[in-house]
Amino acid sequence: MPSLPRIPPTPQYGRRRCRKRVMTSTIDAESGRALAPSTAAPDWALEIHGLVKHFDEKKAVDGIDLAVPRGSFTGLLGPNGAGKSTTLAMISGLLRPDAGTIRVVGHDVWADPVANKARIGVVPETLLLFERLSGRELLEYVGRLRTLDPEVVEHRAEELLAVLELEEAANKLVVDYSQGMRKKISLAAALLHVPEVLFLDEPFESVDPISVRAIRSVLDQLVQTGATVVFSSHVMATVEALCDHVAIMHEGKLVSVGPMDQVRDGGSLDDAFASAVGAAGKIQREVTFFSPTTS
Amino acid sequence: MTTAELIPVLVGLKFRIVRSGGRFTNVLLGLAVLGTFAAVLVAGSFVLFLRNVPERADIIVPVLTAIGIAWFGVPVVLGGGEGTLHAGKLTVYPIETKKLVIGLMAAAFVGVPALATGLLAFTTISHARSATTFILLLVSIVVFAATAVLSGRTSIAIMSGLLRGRRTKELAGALAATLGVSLGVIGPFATEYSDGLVGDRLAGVRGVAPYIPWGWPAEAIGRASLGDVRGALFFLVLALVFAAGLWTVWSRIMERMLTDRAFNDEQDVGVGLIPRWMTVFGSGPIVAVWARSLRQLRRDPREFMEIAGFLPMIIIFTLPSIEGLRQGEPVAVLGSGSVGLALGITSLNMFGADARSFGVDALASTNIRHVLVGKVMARLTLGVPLILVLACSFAAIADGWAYVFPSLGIGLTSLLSMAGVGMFVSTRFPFALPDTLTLGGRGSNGCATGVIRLGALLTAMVAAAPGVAITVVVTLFVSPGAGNVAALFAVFFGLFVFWGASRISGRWATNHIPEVFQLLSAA
Repeated sequence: MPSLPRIPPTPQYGRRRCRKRVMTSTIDAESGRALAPSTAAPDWALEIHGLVKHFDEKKAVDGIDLAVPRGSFTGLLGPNGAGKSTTLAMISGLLRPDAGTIRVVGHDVWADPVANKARIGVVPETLLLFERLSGRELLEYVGRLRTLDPEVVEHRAEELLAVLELEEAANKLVVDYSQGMRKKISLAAALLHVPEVLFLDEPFESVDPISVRAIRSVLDQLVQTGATVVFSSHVMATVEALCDHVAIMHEGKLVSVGPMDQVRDGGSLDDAFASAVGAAGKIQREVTFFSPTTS
Repeated sequence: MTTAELIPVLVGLKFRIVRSGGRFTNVLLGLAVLGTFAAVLVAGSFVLFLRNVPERADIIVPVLTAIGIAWFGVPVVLGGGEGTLHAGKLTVYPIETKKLVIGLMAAAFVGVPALATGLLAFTTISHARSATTFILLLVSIVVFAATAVLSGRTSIAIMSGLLRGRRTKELAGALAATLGVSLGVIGPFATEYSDGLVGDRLAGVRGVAPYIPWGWPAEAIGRASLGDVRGALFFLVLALVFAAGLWTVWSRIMERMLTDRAFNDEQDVGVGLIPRWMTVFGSGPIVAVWARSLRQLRRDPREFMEIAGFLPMIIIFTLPSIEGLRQGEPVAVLGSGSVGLALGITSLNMFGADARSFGVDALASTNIRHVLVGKVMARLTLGVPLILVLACSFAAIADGWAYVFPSLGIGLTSLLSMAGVGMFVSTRFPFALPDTLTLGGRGSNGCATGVIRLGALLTAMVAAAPGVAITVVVTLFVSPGAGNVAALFAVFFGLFVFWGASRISGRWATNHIPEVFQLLSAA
């Protein structure tokens, strides 16, 4: 009897180095805030102090303090409306904070936004791409806008298109791309200048499993070079598989932060998340009008 | 299945689809047919009345030509048609492609528009005064109806086949809409300028008909109606050639669509962002934005729609010049410069069409001035040749070659001044253009957007005024030769406005990226 084909095990990206570094932030017992990282910490990719953002009456981000070590793969978790996307927008320079400071690899983001752009790569939640350019044209455009050498841009673009399995669609307009392809071309555009810190907002949302594998592979390779990846997500399994550090936001505040094992505290990330946002032990209400059907 | 067997099947199928598609009950269907007949009867009575009017061909030919053009043009604007009897759905049956194409054409004659067109043309048979003219009219009417239906099918096939890309359809739609707006605006003015002599106007239009393929069957009918047998025969032959050409084009497209799956795939665009000719300007960010914006203007028709929105005002500005040209005044050539103002209008909202993509510029660009200047360069690339072509055309009509360079100066100054003011407005008051192609929707900005843009337009006109005024005054009151020097000065003035505005607006936008981004994301 012929043996069934074996599916190779999914590689555990990003887990090899994840426990080497320890995030020094801890949660203050009284305020629930993460304490500011120690100033003696040698190497922070991202330092946030007292970050605040209001939208009219609503406090979208409520004075968060966070430090992310260099070379880490950090997941930013939180329920809808927790303030994750707002925080990432402020870090990437697309949203002006009301208060607080953000430092990327030691440099104040808002003191020199132009220099910050050279250090970071961003894949926003809403993919704002030039839809009437082809994938290849888009990468060339972004590369030249970043004043990279045209030959370097061409070489990197070809390689990224190949690695992200976009070669066949490279000459098609972005407007005709699927959601997964759009995420991938957006990631390629963010990686073109080899950023020191990469921020991704919901990179795996609406993406098919094959594209997820391609994206995960590229992100893992980037982290292995010493770069830092910070991404927001709702998908616990992905965060658990990828990240060595995790930060949980709820109602604009940081409610749990640290290395993955520390946050999980022996349980699952799902449970830790529910506990952090106050959903643990919450009894789900039943629909009263459901009744067994006879057929 | 033979072709003879297939035709009744497809015709019957089309009849049922048309009937059920319109949700007609038998009573409604009867009323619709009666209504069509009544409309044709009224039109027919008018044609019958024309029987003894000596200038009848001057009315018949323009009307029938317009109907023929409408058959080709309407599907471009309204789309549809191919869904009524979708050829793709019939490919699963064992029918030879060539036979299917013939059957589809026969079925295309089923429908109210085809019926109305045929009946309207048929009323001209009443003009026959001999057996020869009767036969000539009959054949010409059949050819006219066939040409009309073939035009419609070819147009639809081109739209759904050759122009299969979304952007091409949108571009065609935008151009058709622009044309529609232009005609709508020009109409009343043209009537005013024609001193109410509608007959003369129609006679003028008839003069053009022999040079338009859709005018050939109409001309054949018109000449047969006058008893001009030789003339009618000549145009009948031309009409037959045109109909055969349409048939060939349509059947080839259909055969290719039905047999070649790859034909329906999304189109690949060229490789490489920057055209070879543009590399002489370097490879920096400005060139990148310039190249990208040219593609944006070419591939996204919404900016053309922006011009269409302002077209009435531009036409009002240029009408005196057109009237001057009609009277053969060389100085009317200067009016071609106003095109610079028209093209500069898209500079008033430079981030509008790609508002959703501003994030790419915001995240990657180190200086938004590069983005602004690159966008203006794209407009200059399109605008300068257009002004030059128009000025040369006007000069050829009115023998006003001495005014070409001053016209170019006026156009370029207007374009540069408009771009300068446009940079200011585009960064301070940007708003996203709606994704859909409508002249109406302007996001959630209400009337504020229109007021700001109208204000910007007037400001740009004031900004351009010194340069334009000096050129016009020197050209008119000194000499066209001195006007050339003044035009040169005007261009330098425009460049100064542009340069200054780009520095101020570029610096401001670079320091206010979050604010610009929020405004563009809000719509």
